Amino acid sequence: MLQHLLAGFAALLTLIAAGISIRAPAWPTALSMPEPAPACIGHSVLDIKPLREAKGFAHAASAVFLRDGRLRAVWYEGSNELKSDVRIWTATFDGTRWSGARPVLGPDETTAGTGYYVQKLGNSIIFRDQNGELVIVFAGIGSIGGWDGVSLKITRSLDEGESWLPPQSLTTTAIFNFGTNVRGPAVPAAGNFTLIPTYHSFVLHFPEVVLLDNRDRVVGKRRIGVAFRGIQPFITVLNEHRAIAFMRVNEGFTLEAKTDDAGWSWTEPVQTTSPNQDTPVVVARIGDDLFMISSYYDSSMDRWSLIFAISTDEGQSWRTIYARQYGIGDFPKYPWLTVGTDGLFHLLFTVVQSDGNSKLMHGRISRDWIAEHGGPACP
Amino acid sequence: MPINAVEVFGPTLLVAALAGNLVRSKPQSVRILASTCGAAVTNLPVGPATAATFFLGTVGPVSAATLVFAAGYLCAAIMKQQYRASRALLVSLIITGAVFYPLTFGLSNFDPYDLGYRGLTVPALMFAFVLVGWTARAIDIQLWIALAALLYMIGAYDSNNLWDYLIFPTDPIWAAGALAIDLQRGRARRQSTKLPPCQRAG
Repeated sequence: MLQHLLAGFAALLTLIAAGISIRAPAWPTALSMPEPAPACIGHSVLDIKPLREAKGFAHAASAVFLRDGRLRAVWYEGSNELKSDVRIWTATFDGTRWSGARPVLGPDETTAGTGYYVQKLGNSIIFRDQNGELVIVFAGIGSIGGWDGVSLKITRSLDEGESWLPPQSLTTTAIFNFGTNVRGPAVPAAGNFTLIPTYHSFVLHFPEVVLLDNRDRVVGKRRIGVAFRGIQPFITVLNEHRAIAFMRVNEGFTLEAKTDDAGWSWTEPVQTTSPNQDTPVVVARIGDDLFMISSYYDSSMDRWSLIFAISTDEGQSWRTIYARQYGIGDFPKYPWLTVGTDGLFHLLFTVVQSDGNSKLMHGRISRDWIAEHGGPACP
Repeated sequence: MPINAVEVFGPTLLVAALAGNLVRSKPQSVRILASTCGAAVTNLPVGPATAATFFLGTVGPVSAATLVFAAGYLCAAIMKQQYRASRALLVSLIITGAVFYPLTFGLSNFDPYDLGYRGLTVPALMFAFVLVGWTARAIDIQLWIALAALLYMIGAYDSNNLWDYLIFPTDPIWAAGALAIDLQRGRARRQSTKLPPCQRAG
């Protein structure tokens, strides 16, 4: 008798769970269009300066424009990556100079906020969600493992980044929530959803997209594709349904995969003509063309360069328009590109130096400069 | 510190069951005391965290199956009985884990974990388990599925994925070990019953 009663009870609860599961949010059918590329401003600008020279390791900057026109950057900084003194830092740029940098989050605050022990922090991305609030999604590592054991945390600010609410944990994987990391910018989607380009780094590597609702809940996840084991996808939106993901690979060429249904399904990743030596890329639309910034290592000269390139065929082939070479031992990497209210592209990236310390750099680039160097002409 | 009591319950129950079993040969009052102390120690603050938050930060909240196992071992320790999960439960967990986890590693473009966010696939699997449990008269399967569904319904964990309530990576491993021991004992028992009565007594 007890056996039948329990079976009936379990079936009833499963039925209710099935009802909840059926009514769970569906994947969004459309992406929000990105900000248009800046117009030409009448003069050429390429201005690259340090924004932070850390006594240690500052890395993986991302940025968002504030309502008052300032640029707010966040990054992680500590004595080195995967150290327990790494914290998430922030600073703002008012159009002429950067404010002093200050830490906003550390492992203790993250442990207190999530209720999960967090020992180390890592990559972070900042974006404005569709409620208009600033959000940081960042990597946290518990008591074991390096990047393999990473999981995502989320925090939001109601005052343009001056203060941050206690972080929450995001559950994204089946095995101990291990292995989801973040780098590329978030993509807003219809229905108050946000796509977070992520990558899996536990045992096997591959790029993914995590779907967040406006209550910071993970409500979906799609694998971009396991071919070539790409990571750190950067998603460029072409229109409300179509987007391209560009991925870093260990050695070879930058990968691309396309979606026609707002990220639900992706074409198999294929190699582009852009060399990739284990560094992420950023890509922005300029009209019908694409503008990529990546890193390139010239082994014959033992030097890294920051490469600016243009594609006219939706990312399959790339033509270099500019290479900014760095000195021996300096390694420019982890670019982040955003369009400012001042009509310029703002580029952030890290230069890792031979002594292990790093500098965060800030570049301002006008559309005119890109046109002068063989990019799409000014309209 | 915001504590999710349901998530913390998992490691607390596990440590209580472990502590109770460590003093299995002692009187019942000692076994109860040991289990209670184990549960309490799990939630004592050590630096910025507790043992429970350390556990959660390392491996995350446990599944309904782990809770059923832990509760079974705790009851058995306190009542000084042998806990044996049904073979139907053990086999269900082994098969599910053997199919599910390798695919989540990224062997192909198909990600079964995504099925846990929406749709009928995982609930249909749960119905199948209820049927298996009913056919095999395995009460622990019904408890497992009912508890998983209940935790999912109330949003007990940070996760909105039904898989996270249903199964935990150590469940299939534990189940495989328990099934192997159970089969070994069954074989030994059968062999002993085949012996003549005079040898059996020895």
